[in-house]
Amino acid sequence: MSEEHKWKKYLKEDYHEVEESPHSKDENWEKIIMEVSQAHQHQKKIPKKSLLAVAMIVVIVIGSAFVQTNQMQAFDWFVKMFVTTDGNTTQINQTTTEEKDVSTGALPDFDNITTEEVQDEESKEMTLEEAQADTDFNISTPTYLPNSYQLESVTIFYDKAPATHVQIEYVNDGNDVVTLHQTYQPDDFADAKVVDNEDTKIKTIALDGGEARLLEFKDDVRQIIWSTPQMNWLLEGTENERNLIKIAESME
Amino acid sequence: MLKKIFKKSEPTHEEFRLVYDMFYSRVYRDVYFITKDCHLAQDALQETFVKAYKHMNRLEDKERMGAWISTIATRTAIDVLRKRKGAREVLTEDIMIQEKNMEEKGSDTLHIVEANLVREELLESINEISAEYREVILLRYIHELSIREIAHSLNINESTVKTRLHRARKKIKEKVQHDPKRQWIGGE
Repeated sequence: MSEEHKWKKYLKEDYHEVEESPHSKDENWEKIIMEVSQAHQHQKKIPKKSLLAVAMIVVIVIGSAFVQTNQMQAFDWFVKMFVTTDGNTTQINQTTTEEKDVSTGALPDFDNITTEEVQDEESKEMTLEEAQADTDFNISTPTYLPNSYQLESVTIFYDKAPATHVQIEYVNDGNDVVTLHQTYQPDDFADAKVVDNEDTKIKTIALDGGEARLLEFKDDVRQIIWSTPQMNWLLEGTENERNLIKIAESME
Repeated sequence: MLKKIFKKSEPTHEEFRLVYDMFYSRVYRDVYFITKDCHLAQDALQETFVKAYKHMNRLEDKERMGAWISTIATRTAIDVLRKRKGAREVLTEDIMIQEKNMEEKGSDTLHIVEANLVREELLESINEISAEYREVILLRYIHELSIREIAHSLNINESTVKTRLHRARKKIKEKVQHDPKRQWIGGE
């Protein structure tokens, strides 16, 4: 039996070996119901739903006044990043398009817009060479890695055929993890990420002659998000900002 | 869309009882796995169901209720541990496992079947790591949630989940390897 199987087997056995609860199931139920009833009595009145809806719309309209846009052009591709703040949350949008001019204000062709439900993708761990053979794009790796980071795993996600998303993980002696996500986008593409402003600081940083977004989460994790023609990148780890930028700039 | 959001409401008494019956054992095992104390587990179980009742209308995918309620349970169990035992004993992510002296067991240990020894020491080391590490181990290896699901449910980054799993596994392995009486897990 492999070590992993042993782990799981023993863990599951341990999980099912519990000391009985001092109270019976029904006694616990009574206490829960009592707690729920008390909470109901103390519940503050919330605004009517219709007022909430209006408030949301107002926030969105006001928030749209604080939109920052950054755009870069490479070859025939435009890469745009929007950052929209509406108080509690910030939305980061990435779009890539092959159009010559994306600022004409013309409405998009709604017939050609498709949406995809985000779901858990099937994935497979493999070597870098196998991953390269299984994808239609060049998988880049950083030439700079600080603090004894070593390649830990390469994972391909099969949400599309051929695969367009690769994740490369590096782990150092302290078990810190740096993860690089590379997503190939040969077609026009738009993506958005919403973050909570209380937990996350967002800033624009210079990266290899272009711009990127640096997100700093309260659990000391940082992400750098950037786009290049036909490729979206996300680098994540607990390394400091300077090191993460150096890693991002060393992609080859 | 607004209509869809607003049509949700709190569960009825009967619905809530059904959820309670369905997940009582699972939740109790989850919180016991974290607290390793039946009294704390009982408190955490009650708080978990109160929270689940209050937030059930936010659950989009009812088929994921088991995973959802397990993450509430593990979070609540950690909170209960913090309140009851004091912050010193509930280690945060960056603090390593408690260095408890491993005392030699009596000579009867020698007669225990190999497999039982392995299991016993593995579980002993798991119980010594911090509650946050046990939480990700529980969600990953027992409930078999993906890294992404764990990160989403606990509102932490995928990197943090991976780091905790790496550290937990390494610490458990080290603990067992450095136990002078047992070195059952080989090298890399």
